[in-house]
Amino acid sequence: MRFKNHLKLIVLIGTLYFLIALIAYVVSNLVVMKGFEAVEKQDYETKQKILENAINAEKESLKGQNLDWSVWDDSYNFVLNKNQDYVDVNVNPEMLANLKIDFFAVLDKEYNVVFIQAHDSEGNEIRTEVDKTLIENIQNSTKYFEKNKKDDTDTTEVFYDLNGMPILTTVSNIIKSDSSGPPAGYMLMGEYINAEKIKIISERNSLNLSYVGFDTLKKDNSTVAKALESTDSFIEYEHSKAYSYVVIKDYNNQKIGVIKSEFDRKVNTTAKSTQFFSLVSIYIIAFIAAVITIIIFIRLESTKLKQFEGETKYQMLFNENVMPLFLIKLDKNWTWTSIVEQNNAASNLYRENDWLDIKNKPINILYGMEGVQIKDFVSTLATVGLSTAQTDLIFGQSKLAVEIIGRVFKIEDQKYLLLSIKDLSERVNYERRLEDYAGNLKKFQLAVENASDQIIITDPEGIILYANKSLKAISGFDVKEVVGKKAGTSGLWGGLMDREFYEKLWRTIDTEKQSYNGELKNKRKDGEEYDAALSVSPILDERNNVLFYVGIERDITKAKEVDRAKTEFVSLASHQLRTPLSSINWFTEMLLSGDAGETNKTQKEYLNEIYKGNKRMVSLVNALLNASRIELGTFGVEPEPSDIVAISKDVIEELEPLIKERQVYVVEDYEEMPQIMLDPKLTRIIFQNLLTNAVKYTGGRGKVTVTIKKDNEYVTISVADTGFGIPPDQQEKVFTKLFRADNIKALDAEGSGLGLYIVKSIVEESNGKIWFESEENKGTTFYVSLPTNGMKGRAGSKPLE
Amino acid sequence: MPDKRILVVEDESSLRKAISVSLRKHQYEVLMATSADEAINALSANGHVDAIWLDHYLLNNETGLDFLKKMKTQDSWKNIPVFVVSNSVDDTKVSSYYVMGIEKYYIKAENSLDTIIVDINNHFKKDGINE
Repeated sequence: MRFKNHLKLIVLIGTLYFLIALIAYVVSNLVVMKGFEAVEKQDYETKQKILENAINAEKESLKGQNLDWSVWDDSYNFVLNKNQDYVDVNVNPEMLANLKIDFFAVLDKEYNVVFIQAHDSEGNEIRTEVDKTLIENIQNSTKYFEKNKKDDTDTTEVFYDLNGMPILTTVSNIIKSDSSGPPAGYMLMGEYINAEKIKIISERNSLNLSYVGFDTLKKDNSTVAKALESTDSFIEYEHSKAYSYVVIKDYNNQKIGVIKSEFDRKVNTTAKSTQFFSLVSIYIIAFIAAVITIIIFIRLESTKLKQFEGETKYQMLFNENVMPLFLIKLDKNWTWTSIVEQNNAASNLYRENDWLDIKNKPINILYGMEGVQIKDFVSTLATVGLSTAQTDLIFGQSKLAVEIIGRVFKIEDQKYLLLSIKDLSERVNYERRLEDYAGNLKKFQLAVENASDQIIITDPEGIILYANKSLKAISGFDVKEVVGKKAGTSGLWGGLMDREFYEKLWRTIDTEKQSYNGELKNKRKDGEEYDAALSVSPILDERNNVLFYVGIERDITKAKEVDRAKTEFVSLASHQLRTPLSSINWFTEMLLSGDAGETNKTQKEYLNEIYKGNKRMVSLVNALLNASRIELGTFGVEPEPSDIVAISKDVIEELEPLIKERQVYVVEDYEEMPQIMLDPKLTRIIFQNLLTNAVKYTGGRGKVTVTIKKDNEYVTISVADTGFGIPPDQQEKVFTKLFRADNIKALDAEGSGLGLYIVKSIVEESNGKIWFESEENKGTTFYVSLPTNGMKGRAGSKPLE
Repeated sequence: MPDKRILVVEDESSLRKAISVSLRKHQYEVLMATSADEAINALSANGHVDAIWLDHYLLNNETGLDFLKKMKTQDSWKNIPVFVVSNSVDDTKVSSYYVMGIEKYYIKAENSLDTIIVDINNHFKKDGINE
């Protein structure tokens, strides 16, 4: 926070100094530049003077050069007409060429141009086609001449071009018929001071000169043009060049052109280096100033901070303290007179208790504390100056477990009490939770310790870390004997199973990290063998590493014995039940066959009922036995290469009497099937049940369709009927043991409710699937899918019947 | 069917009666025994027997299997066709019987007498053809 403030300040000061430096730079720059420009100006003005002189000299030289008319005398002659007007002038062209003049003109006395001989800019002679401008110039010149002529003598004057471009110098001579008579005409010779000549002047004087017509200049509307309106010379400065302008006027004092001279400015480089040094020095000064200021500022700041720490810091510590704090004024009798200060936490805590007037009666802070306790607290404060109490304070509807700490101090004979209230509710809660937690843990521990199953916990290597009490009862070992030893070894109660068994166990719990469930033979400490059901589960950490294993073992020796007894019982019972049934069966059969004499029609009908009832009893006994074997898990699976279609056909044939009786039409649709590893008996039971149901629960003239199809994974049997269907609300119970749907119960009293239960058990044991589709009064289709790779063999004490 | 002699070994008297009546009706001469010992005695006493109808559970402690074992020790008896008709459907038992060389194993409750007798008849017919 503080650092940030300093940073801001430094940036601010830096910016300020930068601006100052910048202004200083600009100002100094202007001053320096002005100084330099002044010096420079003098220089240019000198040069300008030189130029002006040069131009004047040039003019003078022209005058001088052409004044010698004696040269002229031989080069021309006039032929005057009667009226004293000359009609023609004969000029010696060679002479004219020697004179290096640009033009030669003859005017009459009215100053009309009679004749002009001139050269164009390339030096070609033009005599007939005279430039109008030139004529005009000449006329203007001569008008001036007329105006200013002093006498009849020859005069030389300098004229300037009105259009600005050339500078015209003319020399005039008055043509007279005789020396005393009035002038018959005038003769003019001239030379242009043009760009070419300016160049010559420029070179001669080492000046870079050029000529610009004043009108052209004015068109630019530049500062130079404006300046030259009022003055005759001007210096213009650019970055690396300077230009000096000198105005040239005509005879009417009109400004007709400007001679511009151009200079390279030396002042720039000089000024730059000067500027650079001035800039650097200014920056150094600015930097030093900034550093000094910052140091001074930080000094000031820290002083301020110290002051802040002295006052605000403690105010903050008090106000922002999470513990509710009160500063209470005490009177001589130790009565709590008023609250001098209370921090935010205190305000928040007592906000919901605003009906408690703690402002005027601070002792109310202790609302909820017992009277005796309050007395104690207050009196201890008076005697010791420090007092604490743990109590419940009342806030609105709730109680808050708190610790109140009071401390008395004096400021200038005035006693104050600093009261802090520490919220203990969280701690109390935590303590209670901890108690619960510990209690739960204890419960679990007790549960594990006293479980009737033997429970052991091992490290990932199988070394026993813990074993419960049942260890002694089941394996005969004491806990102390086994802790630290490896579980499942022959030194303890294990080691009886083959290598393969233990490998599978470890693979499951260690590699696959799954629970292992199985049965095994173990031996007690005294050497007696026993059967055990074992479950070992790996307990994993978040990275799936085994932390430890929990092994639960139960002695199932007795259970197994009971199981065997049960199985034996079932077997015997089946035998015993069937014997009288066989007896009934056979004697009825004999009666029906007439062995004991002819029976009449009614007798035969009754005998048939007995026979049928007996048959039902036999199949019921079979179904019950099968169901009990499934429950006991004692049925075996003995796969052999089987022709599933043949089994189906066989069962249908067997059911022929029932099919006829029910007047059902059976459709068979088989795909070509290879031999599949199936237990033929179990497969037969599947067909028997599905087909019997289909036929039984289909009304007269109904249809039963049997199909067997095959794909890569499964052979699927479907048995579809057009029968009563299964009511939708009962469909989920179809495979439940002893379940019979309401609609068929009413129609048919027979049926054990075991058939589909048995089928499902067989199918699932074979890793197959069974399902159905059914619509009431439309029919049902059962599907059974058996793996094409066949059923897995399983040894069982009893086959299904 | 001319005068074939069948030994019926069955402990349950009512069944024994039904069997014998039916067999006699088919003109078999019927000898009867209720235990393995009785059956052996019957074989010894009567010399020639053409077929044996055998139950598994018999009187006393010995079963049909015990009887078969004894019977197979005698050369004169060991080729007599045996038809086991029992209500016990233990797979191991059934296969044990087949191992001992019986003709067929019937579950009493599920087969009519007629079915079994027809099978026996057929057996002799086949034999007759072979002879």
